[in-house]
Amino acid sequence: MPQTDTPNYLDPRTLAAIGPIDLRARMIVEGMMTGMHRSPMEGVSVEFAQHRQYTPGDDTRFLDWKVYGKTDKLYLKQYQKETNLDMVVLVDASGSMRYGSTRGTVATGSLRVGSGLSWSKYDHAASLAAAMCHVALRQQDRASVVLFTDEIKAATRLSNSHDHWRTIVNALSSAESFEVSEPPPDASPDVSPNHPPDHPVGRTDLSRMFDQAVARLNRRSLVVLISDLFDDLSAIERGLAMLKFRRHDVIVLQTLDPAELEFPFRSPSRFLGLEAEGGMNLDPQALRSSYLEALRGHLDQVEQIARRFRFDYVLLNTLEPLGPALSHFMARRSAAIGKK
Amino acid sequence: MQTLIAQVLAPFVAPALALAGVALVTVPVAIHLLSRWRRKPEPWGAMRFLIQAYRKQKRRMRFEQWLLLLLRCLIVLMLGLALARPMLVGAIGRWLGGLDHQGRVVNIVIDDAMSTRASDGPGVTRFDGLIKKASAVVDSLEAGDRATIWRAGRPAGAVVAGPTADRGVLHAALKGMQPGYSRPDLPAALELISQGADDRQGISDRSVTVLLGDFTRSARYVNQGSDAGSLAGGLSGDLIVSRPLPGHDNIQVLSVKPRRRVVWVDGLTGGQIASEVRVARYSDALGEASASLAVALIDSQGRSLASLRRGVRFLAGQRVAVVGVDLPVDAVLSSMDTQGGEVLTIRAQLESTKGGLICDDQAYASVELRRRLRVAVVDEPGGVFVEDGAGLTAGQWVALALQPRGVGRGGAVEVVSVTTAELNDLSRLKSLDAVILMRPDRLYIPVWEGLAGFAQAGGLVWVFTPANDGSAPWVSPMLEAFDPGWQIGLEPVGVEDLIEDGDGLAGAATVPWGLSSEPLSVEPLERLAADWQALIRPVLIYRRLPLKVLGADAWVSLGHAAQGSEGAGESGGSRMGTLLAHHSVGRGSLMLLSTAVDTRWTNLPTKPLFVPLVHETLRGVLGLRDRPGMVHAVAGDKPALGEAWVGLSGLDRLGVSGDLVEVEQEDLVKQMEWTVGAEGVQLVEPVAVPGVYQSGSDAGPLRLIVDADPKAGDTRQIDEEAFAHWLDGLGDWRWLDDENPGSSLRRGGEVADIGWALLWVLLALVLLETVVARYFSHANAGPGRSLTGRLWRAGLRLRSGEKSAESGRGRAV
Repeated sequence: MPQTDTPNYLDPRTLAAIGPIDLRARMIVEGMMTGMHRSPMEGVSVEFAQHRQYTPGDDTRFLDWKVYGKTDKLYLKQYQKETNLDMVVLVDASGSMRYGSTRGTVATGSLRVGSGLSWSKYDHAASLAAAMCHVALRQQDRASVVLFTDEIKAATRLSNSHDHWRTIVNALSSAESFEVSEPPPDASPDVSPNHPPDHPVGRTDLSRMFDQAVARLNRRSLVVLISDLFDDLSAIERGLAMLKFRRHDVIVLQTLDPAELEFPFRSPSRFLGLEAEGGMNLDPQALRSSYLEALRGHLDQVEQIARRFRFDYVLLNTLEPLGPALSHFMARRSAAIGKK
Repeated sequence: MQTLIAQVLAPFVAPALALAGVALVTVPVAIHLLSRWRRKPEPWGAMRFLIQAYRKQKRRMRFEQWLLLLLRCLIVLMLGLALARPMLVGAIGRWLGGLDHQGRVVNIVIDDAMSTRASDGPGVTRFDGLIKKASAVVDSLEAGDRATIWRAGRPAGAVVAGPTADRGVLHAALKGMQPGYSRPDLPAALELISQGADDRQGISDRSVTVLLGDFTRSARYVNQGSDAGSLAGGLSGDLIVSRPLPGHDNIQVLSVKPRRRVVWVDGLTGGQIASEVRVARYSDALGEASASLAVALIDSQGRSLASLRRGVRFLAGQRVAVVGVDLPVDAVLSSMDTQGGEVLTIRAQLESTKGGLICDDQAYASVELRRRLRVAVVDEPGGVFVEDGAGLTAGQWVALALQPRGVGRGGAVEVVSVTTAELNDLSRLKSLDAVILMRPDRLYIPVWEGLAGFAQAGGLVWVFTPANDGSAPWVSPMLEAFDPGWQIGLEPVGVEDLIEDGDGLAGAATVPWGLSSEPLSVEPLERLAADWQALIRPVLIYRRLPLKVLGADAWVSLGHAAQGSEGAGESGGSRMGTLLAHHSVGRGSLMLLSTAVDTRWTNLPTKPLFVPLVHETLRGVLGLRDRPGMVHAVAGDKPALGEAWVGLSGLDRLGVSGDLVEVEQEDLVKQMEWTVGAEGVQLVEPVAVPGVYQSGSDAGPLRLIVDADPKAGDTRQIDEEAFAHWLDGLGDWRWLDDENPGSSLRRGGEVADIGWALLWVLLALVLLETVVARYFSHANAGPGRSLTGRLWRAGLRLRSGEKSAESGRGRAV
């Protein structure tokens, strides 16, 4: 079967064609499980779950020698894990997260379905959060989702019940109802506030959000921050410092659109801010290098801050598959469980 | 306002394009403004960084925008200005127009006509001044310039073959130039320059023509506007002309002319050569004046055989004086061949004239002295006796008139008696000068044809009407052989006949005819003019052939008889008929006397007019005929020497010694080149130096006389306004700075077309705009936002039909 006929369920362009977040999350998880040859869920539990055929690279400690003796075939024993991990996923639902330049397609044979749908940063973040929560809940970990803009807009409780995943998905789907905030007072005179975007937006205020989030976390948790982090570096640093101080483990997943990373515009256009910054008439080619310089400086600073606190930092491109991010999450989760 | 606009647009060849360029400057501005108003909205999340970049680049972007807008406006403006072809004067214009780097072809035209020989100070001629100016022009040539030198004296020609940048060659050529003796022919020189410019088509050299001359009234081409007009399209480039010099007085020998070119001299008494010298003077103030004239007779060895001095007096207002001079030939007779003749030279020279030109103070003429004029009187054996003619026949009567008794050995005319039968042998015509036919009615047609050939070769055939009462059938073969165009009746008419002839060939006559008393105007008979009225008075014509000749061929016409009333025959002579008719046949002549040598027809043979009429007619007709071996020309002519010169072995300039002229040794011998064609000898080069040139050929005395061109001696000041008008016909021109001739060649006043320079600037602006736009846009791949880049992208879109890469990108959800 040609490779092009097989849908890559982790590809954002595929996921964009799928509407509900829960379906997206399941597809992500299943796709990830199918694609993995070496399981990150190594034998850390005593409850047997299933056998899996050995593949090179697997830990030979988990080979089932009895089966080998009977069938002369190598199988690994896999166990149902026992976890006591609390995972809190902070999802940025601000206006800037609504930006997306990626269009989704699903190739099924010769038929293409859903062409033309956009895949925003929030879509990417929400799908990733849902998938993480799905995996966590399957492992009996407690999971929670917090949606924020300039403040926490919605949050679920920490739970590992089977129906909690539905609550999480509903919360992620409710982000579109967040109201727009007032424009910042220091907007440039050239930035006209008279052209508000057509969509409801919320400003990003990580400092306030971190204050509220930290107040809600009573136990050591694995905090996953999924955001474009378009805020002051001081606020980011302060928030991560608070989490570090409370001994939380943090994974920073900075999500950016490929257009934001490359700034490929050529024609002079009127750029309308999605967080009520107003509009600007700009010649993008003249500003590209300066913009990219400013963006890269910001990204580098964010990564340095994350590394300084020994937090995991991953820059996610919404055009790229979600697998690496999830794998990173799995490895981090395993490490966290190992510490406990 | 309109005046101001007109002044601003004056330097442009196409002002409308310049205006269009200015108007189109608004297009980039309009595009700039429209692009600010109508921009595609682009929702954007990372606005914080965009604002940050914008604040950082704000001033630079504005500078870039204004710079690009300025460049684009300049591009449009420059395109319009370049197409409008502005013409600029001055150093900047020359630099932009590339004139500083473009060589020129400088044509230096020097008028070396005779008038430039005039003195311009002690030991300095006007020609020396022209050479000095030309040297200054050569010295002022700039790098890349090439020059050539032309002479404008007739015949005009190149002094230096082809333009050269070698100043040494040019100076050497100037040093070797000498003024000529001909008149100026500036149109011919300009025509040669124009042809040279045509030959250099494709060479981008610009042309500058410098005319140097004294420009006196000898420049007669000024009054011939067509010459200048014909060159208007061909003479391109700048034209610089030296100012006409002031005029000065000049007196010249206009011509010297013997009354007859061939003079028969009596062996005993000798004779005189009657000559006429015309002296002309050129002065703005024509008061009374006098001059001294020396006329000399010079033999072929250059020896002066006789000389006379005559005073010349000009009355107030008189421009031309005519002086008659009779040169004695006694000194020649002793050395002359008893049978042949000798060609002599008459030279007339003004003495001690002050100022003016010297070279035109003399003129030459040739005259041939001969002892024998051989005339054959053709009659029937025995002839027809003239009634009351003392027993003489008509032929004898005419012979007697040619050789009057008592003159001794017969004088210069030798009469040969020939019968009509003997004339059938045409070889008898050789060595004869004239044939008098007393019985034309006895000649056959071949004889008439032979006589026609004799006349073609230069002989004279004189037909006397025979005294026959019947018709004259001989008239028809005569008219057929010679085709004179005369109207001759075949039946004689007389006083006893009352004839009404509708053609008017003969009028009703009841009394004898006389001869017309109209003043005699025939040049060969001019010696009779003074006594003509007295000589014709007793002449009566009783009978004659009706002969009517029109024009100059009617030498002696009939009139009413003089008896009864004085001057009765003055009117209507030509209508009543012609007594003596003449017609040129080739180099010879046919003559007809319409009455017979018979007292029944006329009393002319018995009257005093008969002898001088016969002699003067013979000598006049034969003496005025151009001798094939004698050619007269003026300096600058290229005369056709004719068949008689075919045996030419060389031409030597006759050196003249004596008390009148100092011999110029270097001019004693002048060898010339010639070619021989179907029409005889043709000189390759025109004769430049006046003088007497003779050939050493055995074919006979061959003599070429060259006078200074009298038209070149008009040294009066030219009408400067008329001259300027003539120059206007050549195109744009300006006066030469006579004080500093070299400065006129400097390029200060040149108008340069900087259209091409602006096109180069336009190209540079387009390239600059492209580079600047790409640099400002920091485009790493594909065409940038420059005009050329946009055009490139537009072309790509048209070809591929693809939509904008940005369309649909960045949509908020």
